[in-house]
Amino acid sequence: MDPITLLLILVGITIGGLLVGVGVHFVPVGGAPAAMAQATGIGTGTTMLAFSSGALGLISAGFTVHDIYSGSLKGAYPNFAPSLNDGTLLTASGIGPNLGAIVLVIAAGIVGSMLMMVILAVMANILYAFAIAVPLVSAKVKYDPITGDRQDLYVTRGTEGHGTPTVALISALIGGLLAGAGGAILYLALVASKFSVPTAAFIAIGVFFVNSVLASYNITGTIEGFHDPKFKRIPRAIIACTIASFVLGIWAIAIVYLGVV
Amino acid sequence: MVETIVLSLGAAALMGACATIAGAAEDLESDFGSQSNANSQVQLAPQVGYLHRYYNKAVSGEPVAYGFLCCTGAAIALALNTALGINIVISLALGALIAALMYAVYATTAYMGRLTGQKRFGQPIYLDILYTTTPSLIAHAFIAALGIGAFSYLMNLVLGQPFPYPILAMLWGVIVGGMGSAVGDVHYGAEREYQNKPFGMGLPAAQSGKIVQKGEAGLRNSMDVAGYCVKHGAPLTGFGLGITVFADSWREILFTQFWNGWGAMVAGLLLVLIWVIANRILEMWTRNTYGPYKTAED
Amino acid sequence: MSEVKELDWYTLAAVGIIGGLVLIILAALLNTQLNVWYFSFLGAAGAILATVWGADAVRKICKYGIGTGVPSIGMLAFGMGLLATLLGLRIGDYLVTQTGSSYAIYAGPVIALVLSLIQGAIIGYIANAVLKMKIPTMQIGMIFIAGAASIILMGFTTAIAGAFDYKTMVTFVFNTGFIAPLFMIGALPMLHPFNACLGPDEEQSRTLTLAVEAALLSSIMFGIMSLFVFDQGPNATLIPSLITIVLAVIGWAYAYLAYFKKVKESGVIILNTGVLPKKEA
Repeated sequence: MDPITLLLILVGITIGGLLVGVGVHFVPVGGAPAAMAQATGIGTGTTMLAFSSGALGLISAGFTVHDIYSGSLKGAYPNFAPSLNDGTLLTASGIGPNLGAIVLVIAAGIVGSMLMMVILAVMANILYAFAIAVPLVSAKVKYDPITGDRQDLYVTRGTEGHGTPTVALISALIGGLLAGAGGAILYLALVASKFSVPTAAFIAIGVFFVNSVLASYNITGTIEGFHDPKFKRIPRAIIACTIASFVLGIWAIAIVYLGVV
Repeated sequence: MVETIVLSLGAAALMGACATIAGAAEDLESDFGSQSNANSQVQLAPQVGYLHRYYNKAVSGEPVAYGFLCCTGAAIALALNTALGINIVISLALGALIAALMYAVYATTAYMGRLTGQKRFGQPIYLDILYTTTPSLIAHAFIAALGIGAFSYLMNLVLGQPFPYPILAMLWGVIVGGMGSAVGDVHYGAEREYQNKPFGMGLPAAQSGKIVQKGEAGLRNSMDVAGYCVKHGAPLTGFGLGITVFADSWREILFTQFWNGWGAMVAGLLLVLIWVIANRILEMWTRNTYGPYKTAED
Repeated sequence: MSEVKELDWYTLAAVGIIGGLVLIILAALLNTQLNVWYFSFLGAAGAILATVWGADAVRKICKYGIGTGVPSIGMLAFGMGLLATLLGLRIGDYLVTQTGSSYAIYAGPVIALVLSLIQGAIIGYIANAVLKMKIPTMQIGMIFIAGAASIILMGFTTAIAGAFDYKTMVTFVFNTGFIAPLFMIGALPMLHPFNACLGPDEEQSRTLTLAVEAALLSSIMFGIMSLFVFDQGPNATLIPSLITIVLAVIGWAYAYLAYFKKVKESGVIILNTGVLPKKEA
């Protein structure tokens, strides 16, 4: 295994993990209070909300890799299958011809993740609108940064907002984008190292979990998105997730060096 | 080519139906057990003097719980199907049954453990709550596990997703748990748990823990909660999951053939855009219909 | 309230590490030497000891109020332990080809454990120093849960497949998809006990009894899954899986009743039915 390939795999895993960690900070997490209409955001824990969207991104990316490798897209991207078989996808000469395929896989992860995030947020909003009968507002800002709507008059006294207003939804989409891209890059880097598909999927899940939990430790509870003051803590998470993913990447390339099969 | 698409679309429709039922069952089961989000209030209630007859199933939060329930069911189905040669449908059912029984054991130990951990507040362990609610829990967990195991199997076999179906079942289990936690639990937590508070407002922090103790007839217990949430929260959860499964499979089956695979991506992004616009319309509608709680000073 | 002496977590670590490794290596050794699969259940026993260790470590970390909930810790531990364990087992296989001796395979679990402990130390340092969580027990706690996760993974792999080498793990655990329940119901007995017994009156002996009960429940499930490995192909036999399942069911019944006894002994009010107790004004 030449050193450039190993380095590219390491970079892939580090970047994938870092994107996941950063993406988690954009997701509007209301946690337990959101389920009582006491806080803005989606009513799940940080780690698992990010993982839910990343999971659909991973499923989508897995579909696409399979399609390009042996399914309906095989003819459109002919270099992909041989590169994957030789383990030459992540080499200096392998990336160029396969760039289209790589971008498509990352896009698949992004689209899957964004779709999950938007459905989670909007279905919850439908319930807030009709079953609880509250407007969708945030208590952290006076005017919504994107739509300009006044927020504080519509917040129930004693709560921190309810539902997922537009700014939180856009923030959720950005978070889904980053987490999905991260998951897809992790999966692609591992599959290109000739790990079998289930092994690559599950190692990607493992790295995803580590970064997601570290990011949730940074957030300590709830966050509303990029307009929340807690968002300023993101530099710490960038350092933490980079180091953690780098170390996990070192273990992975050690396995690749010794021979994956 | 057309036959494969028709077969795949049919499987996707069946998968959407399985997912809808599984999603509804998931939310109902979490209402029977009072799991995750709304459970924080049930946990808090004895500490502020509000003793209760709710179940207190503190098993790790819904996404993780459904992750392990569905993946165990699917893995046992895989073992029974390939090793003992049992028909796949029966294997999935047996796997779901064994996993649901395991799940119920976790639920009972959690109920007993949490209440023992806060024994100083005087909240008793009601054995009749344990005996009557746990079978309903097993039943709904079974439905959810069977639904998710079934559509994971179809996704792997017919649609061609390369991951083995226990891994798919775990991923979809986490997704259904997230959906139930985000959508269905709000109906329980904000509405049913505080039924005696005025309709049309969120829950002020000062009211935390002061849950409803008396029900429509007799004392409120978790069976009443599920009987109420089945009318709105549970179907909405199921619908959310069904739409996710179906939309994701639909865009992949029909549009991958356009523009070297980018057709499916563009279709997905268009769907996201439609949902965002729908959310904006909903947001405007709630602001206009419900109006502000207080008038602006300026 | 009597002051029950709590077990020190270094003692539990020793039990988990030494007991766990010995049982796992013994399982594989007996299986290979006698050319049977009947001793796979010893792997599950090793995993149970490691679960008790891990559950206590989770307890010590989370007692300080971790702020985001207990289940994340279990997922973090297993996410950390997975890659390090895979690498350790791969090195074990590599040593066999390098030295030519088949006994080198037994170095694999030890190397896997050491790598997981290192991984846990790094993440613990990140959590305390970079993320400024400032929880005193976090550093050692992270090391312990990563190590416990590693032994649980290897122990239950041995219970499912009869051996713990890298090839076996990839073929029978990863490629079949059994890694998913291994991850989830391997992590759950570690994080469930403290989460379930949470409260001001939580006690170590009750929590650890619950850890044993939950791990035995997982062992039943892994016994059923081991049917895939042992009951197929030319040497199909029901016996190894049956041994694991029957022993685990008996053990689980005993552990569950022990847990219920501890609940009754703790002094909580248990009522068969009734209305809410009147609070003395």
